[in-house]
Amino acid sequence: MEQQQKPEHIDELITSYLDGELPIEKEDAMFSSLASNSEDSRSAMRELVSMRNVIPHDIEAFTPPPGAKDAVFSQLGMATQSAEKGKSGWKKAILPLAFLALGLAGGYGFGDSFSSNEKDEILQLMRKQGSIGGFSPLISTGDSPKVPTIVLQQSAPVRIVYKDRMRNMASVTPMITLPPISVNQSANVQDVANQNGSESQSNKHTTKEILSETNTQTQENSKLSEQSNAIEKASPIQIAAPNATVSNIEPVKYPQFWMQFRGMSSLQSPEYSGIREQMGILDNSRVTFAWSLGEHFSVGLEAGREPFVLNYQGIKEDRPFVFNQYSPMLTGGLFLQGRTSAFENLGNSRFYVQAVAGGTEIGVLGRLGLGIAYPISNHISLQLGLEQSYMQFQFQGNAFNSQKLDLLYGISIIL
Amino acid sequence: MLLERMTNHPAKMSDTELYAALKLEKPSSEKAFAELYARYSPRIFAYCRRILGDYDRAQDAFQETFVKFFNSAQQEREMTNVPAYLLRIARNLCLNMQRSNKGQISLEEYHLPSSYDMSHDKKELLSLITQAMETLPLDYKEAFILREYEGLSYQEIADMTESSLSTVKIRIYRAKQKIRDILAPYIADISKH
Repeated sequence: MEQQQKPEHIDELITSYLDGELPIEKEDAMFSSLASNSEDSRSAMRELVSMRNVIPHDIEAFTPPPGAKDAVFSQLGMATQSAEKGKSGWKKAILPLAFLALGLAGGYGFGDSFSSNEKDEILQLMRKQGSIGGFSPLISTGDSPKVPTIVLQQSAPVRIVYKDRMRNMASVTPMITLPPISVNQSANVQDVANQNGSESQSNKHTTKEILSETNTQTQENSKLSEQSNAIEKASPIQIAAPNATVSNIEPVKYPQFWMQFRGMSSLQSPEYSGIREQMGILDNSRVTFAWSLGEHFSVGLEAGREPFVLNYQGIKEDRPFVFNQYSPMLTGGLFLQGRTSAFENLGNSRFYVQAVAGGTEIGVLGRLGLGIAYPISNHISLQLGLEQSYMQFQFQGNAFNSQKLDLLYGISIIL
Repeated sequence: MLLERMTNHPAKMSDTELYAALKLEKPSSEKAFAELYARYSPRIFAYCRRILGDYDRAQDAFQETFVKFFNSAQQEREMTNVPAYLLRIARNLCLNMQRSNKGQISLEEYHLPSSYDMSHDKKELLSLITQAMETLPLDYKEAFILREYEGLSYQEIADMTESSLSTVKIRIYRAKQKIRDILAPYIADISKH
């Protein structure tokens, strides 16, 4: 009986079935027909399913004209087009701007706090050294009156203190060895000599010669000289070492300002098949401005433009609704980075972890990255790493999210 | 209560609650209208776009639909099905436009936005369906659009078009058969690959 059904009738059953209108008692008949009938029935099913699947992708029909909403609202005396646009623009910009401001404020705040703390520590150290009296203070040498007061001392721990910065010098190779004695060649030599008594007087000549040599070496080192001149009026420079040393190693000053350019390649992101905006070379890149507050930590802010897959899907009226878009957008946020000490056997490379909390034009953004920074000079390092980004956004009152994993490559420049 | 929910959670409100809120003072009525617009504007525009074929006329009908909808909400009216009501307004406007422009219906070539990144096969299939739709008699085309674009059941389509259920069933079936006839060679070609 089923075999005798006309093809039109089978097609009608298939059509009703796909539309959810076929009574349950007729479903068996339809499946029997499909199983036993010719290829025509199966191709009918295939064609109808293809038709049904492609219509939800008719984005052109499902996307009202951009100006239609403003026109409707305007006709009804609601928000005008310009007001709506302004509001929309403000909304788009507010998240990135808010986080940029937060990053800026945080950076300055941390920087000030750090400087203040460090200064206190240095002052305490100086007071402590002065109260012990184990060395002769305020001894300077050299021809230039601008050469700052230098105090030499033979004692541990090994430290060089510049103005309000310090650096551990344990690994520095000694260039000059000085005896534990002080010499004053400046205008207050006599005063200091009087204070130090006859022992200082007797050692004066010897130390003077040695310090002369020290000063010559120092002058050969332009960077150290510049630093000495720059801090003329500041707290005295103290050199304290088992064998007092002057080094040509450039001291690291914090906070240290640096910037970073990063390009990205998406390794993994949601599949898309919808609208893809045109991508330019700068549509997948970021720039970061940061302050290193110490050897292992930086804070700053970043901004960039990067693509996210916007995938809206759901069920409306029992029908699937899918809308995919691949869209580059402005991003920005607060940037934090923690890094290891340099690994000498890896060319002084450092491993780092960095995180960003911020926003995009349409939602909030968070990301976490891991990588390695390889220094090619004192001021430039190359970066390679991975970053996982997570963005949450709203569309027509519903929350959606987009995630992606990027291969990150970039360059950091210390300014 | 309605006002408070309108202010804080318009997205969580039902269609009928939002419709009732259209009678409130601004800005509550604006929020309610914006929410309903966000919910149903894609469907209403799809109907106008595919029934009329012409983009500009579809835009006119679409805008007019929402203006009439808002104005009608100011009258005392019991609302149970907002999307069906919106569709009914859109339908009346589109049919009027069709009548006044009889003989001038354009079979405009279907263009996807240039940035639309659908697979070539899907794009071509959609283009063929759209062109095939334009060749259908209006009754068939409308039944097909209400079913496939708006997701209405046969009964809802019958109510909307004031036709019998069996008539709707036949119209949808014949519309799909006609479109299939146009698509068959293409789909067969795809199947071979």
